[in-house]
Amino acid sequence: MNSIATKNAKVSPKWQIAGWGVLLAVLALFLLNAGGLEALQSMTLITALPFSIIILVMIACLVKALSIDKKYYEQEFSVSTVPWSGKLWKDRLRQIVKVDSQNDIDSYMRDIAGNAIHELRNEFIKNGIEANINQGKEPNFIEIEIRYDLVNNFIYGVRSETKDFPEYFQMEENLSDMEDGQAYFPLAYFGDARQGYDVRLFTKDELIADILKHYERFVAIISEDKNKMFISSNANRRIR
Amino acid sequence: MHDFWGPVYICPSPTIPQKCQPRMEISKTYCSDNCYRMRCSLSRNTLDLNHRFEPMSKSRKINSSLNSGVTLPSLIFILAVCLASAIFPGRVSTVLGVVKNFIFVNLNWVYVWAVTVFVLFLLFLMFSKYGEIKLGRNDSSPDYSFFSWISMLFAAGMGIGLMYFSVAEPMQHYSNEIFANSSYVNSAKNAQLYTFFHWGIHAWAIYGLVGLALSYFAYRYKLPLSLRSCLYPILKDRIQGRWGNTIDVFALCSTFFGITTTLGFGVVQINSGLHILGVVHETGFVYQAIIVFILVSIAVFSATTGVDKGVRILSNLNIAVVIMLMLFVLFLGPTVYLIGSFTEGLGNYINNFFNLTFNTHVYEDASLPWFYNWTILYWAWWISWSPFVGLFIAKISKGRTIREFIAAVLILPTIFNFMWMSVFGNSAIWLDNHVSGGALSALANDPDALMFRFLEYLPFTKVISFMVIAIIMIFFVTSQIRGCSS
Repeated sequence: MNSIATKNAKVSPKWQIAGWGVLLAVLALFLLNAGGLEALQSMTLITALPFSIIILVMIACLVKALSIDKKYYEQEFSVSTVPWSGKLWKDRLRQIVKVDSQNDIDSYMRDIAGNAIHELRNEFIKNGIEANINQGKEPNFIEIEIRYDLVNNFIYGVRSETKDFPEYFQMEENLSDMEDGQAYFPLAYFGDARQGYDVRLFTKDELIADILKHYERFVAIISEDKNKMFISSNANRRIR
Repeated sequence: MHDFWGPVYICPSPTIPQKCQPRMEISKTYCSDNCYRMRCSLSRNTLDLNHRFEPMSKSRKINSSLNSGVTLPSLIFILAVCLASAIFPGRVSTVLGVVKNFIFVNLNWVYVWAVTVFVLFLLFLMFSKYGEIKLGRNDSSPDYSFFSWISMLFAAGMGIGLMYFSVAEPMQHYSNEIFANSSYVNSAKNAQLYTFFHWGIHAWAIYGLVGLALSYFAYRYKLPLSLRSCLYPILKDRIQGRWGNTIDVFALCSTFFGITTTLGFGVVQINSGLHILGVVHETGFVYQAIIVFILVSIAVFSATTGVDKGVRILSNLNIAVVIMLMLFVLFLGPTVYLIGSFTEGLGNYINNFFNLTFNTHVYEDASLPWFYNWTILYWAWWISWSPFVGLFIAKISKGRTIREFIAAVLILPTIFNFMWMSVFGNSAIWLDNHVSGGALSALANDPDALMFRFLEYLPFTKVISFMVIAIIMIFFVTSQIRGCSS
């Protein structure tokens, strides 16, 4: 009780602890005198009720805290840092520090994503595979699509997104300035609706490599007989 | 540079003054009589500001670490109850009876659901992926070895309650009229089952949950090891202020009355034991007051002088004696019957676990008062002890994973309680049925004396009875000292 009453003081004078002891004893006696053990039990019953509610609130707090904790340690390196070697490290550092504006994202969509997808498409055509490019106006998205009749189309696209920074993050001084607490970033997305990721840090060649990885995975999946049922959902619509 | 706190005097290790931002809490640590180090803190970021010179004010001379925001409201409440029960004992007793009945009838579901949620939540956590999270830094290892950790958990559950209720509770369930229409076998089994229910996983889920929250927020969120920290995700920095104080006031009052109740049981039982042994002539308030006075004097004496090391040794010795007492009853009582009934009781408990958890006796008017007076009161009692026991198990469990923590806290003390309750309770029931011809269960309405009446059927009655009284006394002193300083 002393440590609750002192907000966890490391050292407490001894009279305090003794004081609690005497108080306990006196109260125990008075209540015993007033109504015996039943009076003591009634007091416990009354005072424990609000505390039981507090413990219930603790559960909510634990759930919240645990899920943040778990996510913190489960956070992995971004996909776009996987191909990094030490070669372009100065560019990389600049990219990490910078907070992208609308203009930055536009030039990314044009120079990196646009070029990567166009080059890739040409290469696909050289290999005898027909690939289309779908593009938004501004360009707020660009995607490469390879069509199939019996299984779903292969799609890999990049679209521009914004994310908000929390207030405490903006208050930190040792971070670069950000306009209205917002940053633009290119998000990869896929035809089969898997969770996309930030591809801001890819160079053009790395982005092409990433698309190819997904294409390779796609080919591996469609070549398995048992997957046919699941990946033909475009075709399945005709059954309706 | 703007100075926040007036002129700087030459002090050991002066540093450049900085400005405390608004919203920051300022605290001072005295490094000598007239010099203090000031700290600004915003949640977990602490900024050492400066050493400042300031003559100590008069109020600092009363050496106290009490926090007025917590202590004052609690003391006012406690003293008010104290005063009221001293001046109008009769009326207080009536009012308490009415309030108690109101909570029993209208709010018992709060207790039932709270405890049910505690149990289910801990079970979920134990089997979920969160079970892998460590109560401490990821790269840390436990403070205590596995064996000493387990033995401390075993010891955590021992106390006055075990001495009072081990014979009294099974005996009272066994002889209760509500269960009277069932056979001997059924009554005996039910007596054990309900005792297990009240002393088992549910009780330890309450302690475990509070202990888990305390240790989790202390060791992983690096907050102070205190109850207010457990609400950090909701209250944030407000845990330092009035909100945090409110939580601590409730915890303090609850703990206070929980410990008082336990001490009350202890005193009444000591009184009754001494009466049976012929040391005192009767049981009553005067004798109880004398016993309390003596025991509290010992507790205060040992807490204020340097003999608390002696108390620690005494307390360890006490645990050894308690285990010897259990073995004594086990071997001199109906040993094989006891082992068998422990096994069967355990199985019965496991099979009925969820039945018991959700049973509110709502269809059985006759057993409702029994349910209130036992289950609900127990839940309140355990909840009121939870800050105290929770703090202890939180301290010893640093570095364990959540899964280890929950498994150990739910199972180990429970097993000990079950063994204890089986040995004493089932011996008493067996003796009642096979030896005394119902004489023990006839005494069930005097629970204070039941332990000693039971010992009369075993050899060395006097020695063992005195030993039991000594054990209760030592538990009284140690739990008072621990309860006060915790």
